[in-house]
Amino acid sequence: MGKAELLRDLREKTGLIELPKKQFWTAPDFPAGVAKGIVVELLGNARTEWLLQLFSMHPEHYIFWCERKVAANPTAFHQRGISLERIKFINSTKDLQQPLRLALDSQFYPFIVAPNHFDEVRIFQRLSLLAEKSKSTLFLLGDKKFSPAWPIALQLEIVASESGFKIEIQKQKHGVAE
Amino acid sequence: MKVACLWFSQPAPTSLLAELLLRFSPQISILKNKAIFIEIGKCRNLYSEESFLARTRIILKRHNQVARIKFGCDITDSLALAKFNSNCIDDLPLDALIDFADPFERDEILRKAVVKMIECFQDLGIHNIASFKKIPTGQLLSRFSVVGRHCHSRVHMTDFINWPLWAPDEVISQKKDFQVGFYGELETILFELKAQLDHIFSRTFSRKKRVMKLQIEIKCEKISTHPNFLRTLRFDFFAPQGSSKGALRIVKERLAKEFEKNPIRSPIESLETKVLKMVDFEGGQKNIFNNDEEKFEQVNSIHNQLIELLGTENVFQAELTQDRRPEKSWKKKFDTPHSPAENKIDLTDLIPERSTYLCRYPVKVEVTAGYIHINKKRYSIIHWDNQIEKINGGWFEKPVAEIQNTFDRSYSFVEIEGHQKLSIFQTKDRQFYLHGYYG
Repeated sequence: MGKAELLRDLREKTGLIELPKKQFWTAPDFPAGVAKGIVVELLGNARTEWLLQLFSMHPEHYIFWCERKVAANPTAFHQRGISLERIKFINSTKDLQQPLRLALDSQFYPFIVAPNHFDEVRIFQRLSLLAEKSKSTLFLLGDKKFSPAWPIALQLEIVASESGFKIEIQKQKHGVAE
Repeated sequence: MKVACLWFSQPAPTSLLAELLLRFSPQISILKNKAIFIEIGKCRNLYSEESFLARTRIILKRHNQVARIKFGCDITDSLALAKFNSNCIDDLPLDALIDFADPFERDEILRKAVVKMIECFQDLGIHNIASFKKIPTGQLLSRFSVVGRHCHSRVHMTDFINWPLWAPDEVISQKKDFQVGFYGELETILFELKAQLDHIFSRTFSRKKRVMKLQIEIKCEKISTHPNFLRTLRFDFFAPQGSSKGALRIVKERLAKEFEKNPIRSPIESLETKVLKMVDFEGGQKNIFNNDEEKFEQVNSIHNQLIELLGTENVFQAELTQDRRPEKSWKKKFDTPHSPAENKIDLTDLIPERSTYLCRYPVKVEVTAGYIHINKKRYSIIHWDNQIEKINGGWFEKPVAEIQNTFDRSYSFVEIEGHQKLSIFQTKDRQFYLHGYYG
């Protein structure tokens, strides 16, 4: 095998590893869609609105919504077309790892939302593995800056614009559609 | 009548095993530490002898017990067949007469008389039941009187015995005493508890019950440096538990927390698990068309674990109310997870679109020409939409005592720099408050 052939072969293999075939959720103003079984980080002043639109596009799935303190307004969620029976709200000022692990382990919640207060790559790696296993998508709502952690497969900054949402992709390595 | 007899050649916990066999029939009697009798004739349409044998052997194997199982038409013959490992009454040795005469070993005088009778017949060359059955009743009466007559009628199956009452223990508990001090923390205790919970849940399953409340007692050696030598942990499950798998997870969470606060400092003497409350459940064949029941159990199990981890207050669903105030337009709902709301209130069409997040308490803001000051930071206003919603009232909540409890808010939709949208209300005294934000 020649050097070029070897390189091409290796590149293909690397590509396969980096872009595994996945199932996708259709998402508003984001034609690529959001892969199932990945960790997504969201920033921007319209991320929740965008997320709620995504949830309303998939009305049959349950949602696990974690918060540090009660801030989400369920009435607004209902107004955006999401049945409140679908959502389990969790409040915890403590470490959210355990509730998230439980939700991911259960494979019952395809959508999991939590604030991104994690800084160790090890934690992201663990969450990513669990998400991949359960095929749940974990949406982490970031603070001000995107996390540099490599297990996060998709990072989007969603801001409100006059036409709807303006989505800026910071990182996208969540695989290709099946 | 069809009776199955389980004969244990080694002393066995018959009462415990009988409880597990309740799944086959409620008519059960035991001969303490030796035999269990189950009337299976009335349940012949539910299972066959073969399936009964197979299932019973599995139960026995799980509990490390070995028994000979034989079927008969009464307690007496099934016992004799199982005890002497025979398939035909006629082939039984004459010693089996004792089991025919007094299967529950209650009458010592009768037993002695039967033993004497057996010895006499053996001297006369009668060695098995078949030969004994051929003896005319008249001859038995003249020589052995009532005892002979009694044995004769039992062997000919003309006299049936009453089933002595057996009822399972009222309290289901499992205890293990450690002779030599048992040193252990979370994992080792969980290992022991798994075995105890397996026993408990198999017992509750056969009673068609599920566990609602459970108590675990860990007794440690009493030493001066260990004040918490006796730990009693009570578990009030959110949903009835039917298997050790789900319950053990909840137990693990609690024990981990408990040992983090108060570690075990002396050897454990005993570990006891007791069921405090049970509820009925409809046991039956698994639904082959859908897995709704499994899903329901799974959801409840997660809910239980989350409650154990975070507390009841922090795990909830939301339910809409009729209150117009954004902070009171919904309430927490703590009952069955993902269950539909009983009173569906839908005011979506009557109220304007609310902000996705609410401030815990309204934040006072300053509004100047073209700018809004939030927490001493200035933001330029792009758009200000007045009179989105006007909410007032509250006087009727405490009409006499606190007139200040009334509210009068005029909500505005404000868009500031960076297209951040806010929900701001103005009070009667022209004060502005930030109440929520979109995002």
